[in-house]
Amino acid sequence: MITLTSSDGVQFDVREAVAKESQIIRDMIQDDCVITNIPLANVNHKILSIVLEYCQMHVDKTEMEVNASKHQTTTGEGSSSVPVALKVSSNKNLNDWDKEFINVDLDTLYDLILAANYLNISGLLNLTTQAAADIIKGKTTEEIRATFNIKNDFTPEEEAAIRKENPWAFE
Amino acid sequence: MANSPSDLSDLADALLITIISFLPICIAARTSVLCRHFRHLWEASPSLALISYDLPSPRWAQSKNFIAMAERAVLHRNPFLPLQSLCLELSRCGVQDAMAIVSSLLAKAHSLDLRHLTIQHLWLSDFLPILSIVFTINSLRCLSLHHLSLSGRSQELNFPAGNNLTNLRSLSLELIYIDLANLNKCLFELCSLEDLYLRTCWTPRVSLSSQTIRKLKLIINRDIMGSLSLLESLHLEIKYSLGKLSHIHANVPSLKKIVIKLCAISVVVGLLNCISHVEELSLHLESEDEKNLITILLESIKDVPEFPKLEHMDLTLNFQEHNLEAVSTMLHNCPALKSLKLVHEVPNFTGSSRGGRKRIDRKTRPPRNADDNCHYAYFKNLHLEENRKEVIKFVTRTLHDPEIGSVYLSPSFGFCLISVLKSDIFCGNEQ
Repeated sequence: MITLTSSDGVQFDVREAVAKESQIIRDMIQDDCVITNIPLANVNHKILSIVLEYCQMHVDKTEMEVNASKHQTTTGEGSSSVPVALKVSSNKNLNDWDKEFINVDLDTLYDLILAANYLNISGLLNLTTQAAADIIKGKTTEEIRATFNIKNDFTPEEEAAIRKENPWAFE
Repeated sequence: MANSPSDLSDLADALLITIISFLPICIAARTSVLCRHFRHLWEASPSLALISYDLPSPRWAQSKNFIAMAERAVLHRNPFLPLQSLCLELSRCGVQDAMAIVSSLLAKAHSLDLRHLTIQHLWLSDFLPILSIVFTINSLRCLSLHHLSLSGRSQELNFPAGNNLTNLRSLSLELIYIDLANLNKCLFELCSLEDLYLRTCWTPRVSLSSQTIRKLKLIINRDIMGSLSLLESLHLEIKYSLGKLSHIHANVPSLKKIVIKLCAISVVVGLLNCISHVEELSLHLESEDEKNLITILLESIKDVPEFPKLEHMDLTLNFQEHNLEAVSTMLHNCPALKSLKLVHEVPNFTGSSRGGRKRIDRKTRPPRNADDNCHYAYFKNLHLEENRKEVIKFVTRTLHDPEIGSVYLSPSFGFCLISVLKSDIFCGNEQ
């Protein structure tokens, strides 16, 4: 077990495999194999708990697949720590789970992008940045500015000039 | 405490570029007018997909606009910004335009150390000039050539001799005709190639030879011959073989994993040589006839061979009575088997491919559950003798009692046994 402490002092006890979804934690554990408590200065407890939910799910799913495709030379079901209900739910497509997981408000999405980047969790970073791209897709320039709170600091002339630069993009 | 960004542009530029790189390029380019901060961000995207049918312009202007887009995004790209991946889709690009623009794009890509290149939907009378440039980009790791069609009389695409792609790991080809002698010569020169995907619909007999390929995916329409000494994983799809007969003559001593998907094929000759020593076997049969699994694969039902190393078997087929018997017979011949997955699939042929003759819908046997639907059953830990016996008993019992569905959800089985709907929605009663 590894204890992760969020920036606001909340402690999370997680299995090493779950913590190791993060490249930065994986490196720390590799450098110092007796480390058991890792403070994370850039992630608060709310975001950390969401991040850990993601890691937990992805570790469980991978282990499930290993169990399914690799042998379990120990005894029968007694040795398996994954409860039956979880095994059933993990049959559900992980992509569907991800899709549901990433359905969060924008502030949480920003925080998740930052956390995934800081902790270097490539799957989560991919998922969150893709989600942000999906929000941009299908929106007009005005809608994107409004959604993301972007202030237009171009003069109308400047904006028109940029549009003229790439007419193929603006019809 | 993390400082929450109040808006998108508070994210670091590297993250913004990552987000923008997921956008089709014409939408990415539109981010340049959001505000000054975004002005040039999209230009740094490490992966560019130039998709002609994505352009918002009217069809007559698409060719012209594609060129404008390509010039802006690639040809005028800052030479210090390396380009990881480039995808060109040219279905809306005129033939004359395509040749010129693709040549200059490839030359530029070469100078930007391109790793991944995909070219799709290109019509030309001769591909040699284009492919000659592609085959000089020695930074390439992955190359995909999909739907390149020759507009002239000759129908075979030729790869240039003597290539520089010494770093190429993965090659993906979807082509109508393939000149196999030419392809094999090309494979011989690709000294780092590990992964090959080949899909061809008019080449009746595919023959391959390689000393480097470890992973192969083939979608072909009849026969395959080959000598692939390092091949570990094979995905083989055979479609609509004339005469419903398919020949496989492959020398694959290292093969560990095989996925076979057969559509409307009655007999596969020579498959046994390939699969008798694999560790993982996955079979997907879409057969119009209610054919026996073993006769299709092994040519004879009398003599079911041993699969001494087989650990994982995954069968998707129409589980008629004789197929359940076949599963039970195979179980007796797989001493190392650890997991077994059965997916029941009722073939759904809408066309009147057999002269309009109606299929006789027999009452299909399990695996099924209470909802009378397509099913999925998964057994593991079969190396334990009692579990194996239980599965054999289950398969034999379901042969005689179609109402067994509810029983096999019982937790008293002592090992993981799951039945779900084919749509992956759990529908059993968890106890």
